[in-house]
Amino acid sequence: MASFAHDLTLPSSSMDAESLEVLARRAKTRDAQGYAAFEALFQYLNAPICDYLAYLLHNVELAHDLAQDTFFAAWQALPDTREELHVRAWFFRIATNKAYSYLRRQKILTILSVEGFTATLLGREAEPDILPGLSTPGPEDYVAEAELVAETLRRLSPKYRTCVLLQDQGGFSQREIAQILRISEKTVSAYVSRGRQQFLQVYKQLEREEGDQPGKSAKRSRKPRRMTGA
Amino acid sequence: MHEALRRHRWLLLGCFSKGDALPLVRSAASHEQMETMKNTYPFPCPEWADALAALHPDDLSAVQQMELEAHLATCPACSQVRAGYRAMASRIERLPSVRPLAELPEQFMREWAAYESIPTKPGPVPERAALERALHLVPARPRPATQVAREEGAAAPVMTLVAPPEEDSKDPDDARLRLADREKPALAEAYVGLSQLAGREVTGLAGLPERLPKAMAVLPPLFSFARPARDTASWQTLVACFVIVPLLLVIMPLSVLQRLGDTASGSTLDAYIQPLSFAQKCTGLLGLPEVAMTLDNSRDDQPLDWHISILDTDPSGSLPWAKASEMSGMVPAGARSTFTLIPLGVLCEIMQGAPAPIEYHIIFYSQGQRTTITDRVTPP
Repeated sequence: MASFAHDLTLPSSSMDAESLEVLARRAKTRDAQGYAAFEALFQYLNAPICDYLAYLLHNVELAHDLAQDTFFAAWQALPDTREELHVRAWFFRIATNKAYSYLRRQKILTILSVEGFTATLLGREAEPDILPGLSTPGPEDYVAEAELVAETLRRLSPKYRTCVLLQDQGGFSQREIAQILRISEKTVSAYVSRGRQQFLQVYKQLEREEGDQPGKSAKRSRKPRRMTGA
Repeated sequence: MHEALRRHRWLLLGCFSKGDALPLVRSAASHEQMETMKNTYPFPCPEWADALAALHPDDLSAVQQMELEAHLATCPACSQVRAGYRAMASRIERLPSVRPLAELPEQFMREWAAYESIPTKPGPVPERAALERALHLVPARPRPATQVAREEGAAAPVMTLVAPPEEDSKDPDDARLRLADREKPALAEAYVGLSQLAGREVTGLAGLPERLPKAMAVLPPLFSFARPARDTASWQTLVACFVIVPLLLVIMPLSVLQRLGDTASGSTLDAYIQPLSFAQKCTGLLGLPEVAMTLDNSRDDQPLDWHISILDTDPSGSLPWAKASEMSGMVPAGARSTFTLIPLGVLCEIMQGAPAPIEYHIIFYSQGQRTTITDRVTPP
């Protein structure tokens, strides 16, 4: 969509932090330029935030809902932010908070439900069936691998999953992740380390399970799944 | 001995790759754990575990990086783990993107639409004392007078009454200060005068009840950049308040006021797009005819970037009331262009039974300005 604010630089995939800061400052004014600046921020951050939430929550529809909430919350909170804002990290923090709020609510609902209560007694985490499955055109192997990676992520503990995704998908350093999650850098380091260890183990285990299925090769046994709403 | 080894099994395991696990360690861990370990990557040396997982270039200092490299050169297990981490990180990075949001959040769009419609919404009438207090507040976001005129549209006639033309000043801050210091009290008085008029039966001022709320609504935003007011009102203020503003409201229909507002910002919006308003009538349940919109930039020496937004929906609220052949574009300097507005095919069908005509809008943006185009549709 062409921006009507012709003097705004349209976002590019390699937009630097300074440009994002300029856009954020303009968006604070809440006039026509401000709306246009926020639209530019949205265009730049829309895809990364949706990707992050989708793989964090394993649900595309939910990711869209929370991404909507994220952008609106950001719009509302923007005027109160300080001048030197790390814009990208700030948006990811809001998205993470939205996701954690959802997971907390979901956990309460799960415990309140009979099935969830039983699962809790049995020591299992009764996650709702919020699917993976990727609607991704491309070579079969690539899709199968992506599904395996998504499934592996789903099985990680949320705190590990968050840290690993923020680092590998979001491209944040551990220091930035610590700022986003408001925890110490040391804790992030530990979470990333354990998350990676867990990831490798689960990934290998899933690969082995699929390879063990009689009469099927590992690749062929991976049935195509579709991520809801993708 | 056995207990000590069991407690330090992670350390012992650290630098042994698969197949090298010690029998004593095997006995300490469960069979299932061992099976898992045998089939997965080796455990890294505990003291290096966190550093191995730090893959971002900024995670480790140069010294730490060198130390890690030195260790990796001597430890196959850690090297293998590190390579595994890198491979996994690469796979996560290459995960396919999901479909992004189609547009900004609905609440945001509503807020934006509300912002655009500020001039048409009557605002609350503050008490005179509150107004005076407001005039002494230092503004949070001062705006240049030119910008205010452009954004507030219909407020500009009042500004033209009390503010000198701005063409002679190239400095927006200067214009703002002149307006703030000299004209704000007059504007405030004009506002108070209008609010007093609003509560009275005024004879001979046809159409005032309809026009007054609009003028009242657009004035308060002007106070947002007010500076301390003078204590006494001048005779010009009283004239502006009780004579000129009411007369202006009577003489000029609002469409003219809108144009004056545009003139104050140095351009005339209706030179860009026509028609600004039109009416259509449903005949039966057939679709409404398309409307050709003309973008005229023939009198300007700058290219005209434009963009439209269609926020109104059909009465059921599910579909945009119209679409356009183009939603944005650029008209070269000295040229004209057209696009077609295509009303929703089932609009008349959905409007069937509506008691009165409905006004639908599209918002046209250009050069930081916006104008509303109205289609008044009479139901079948």
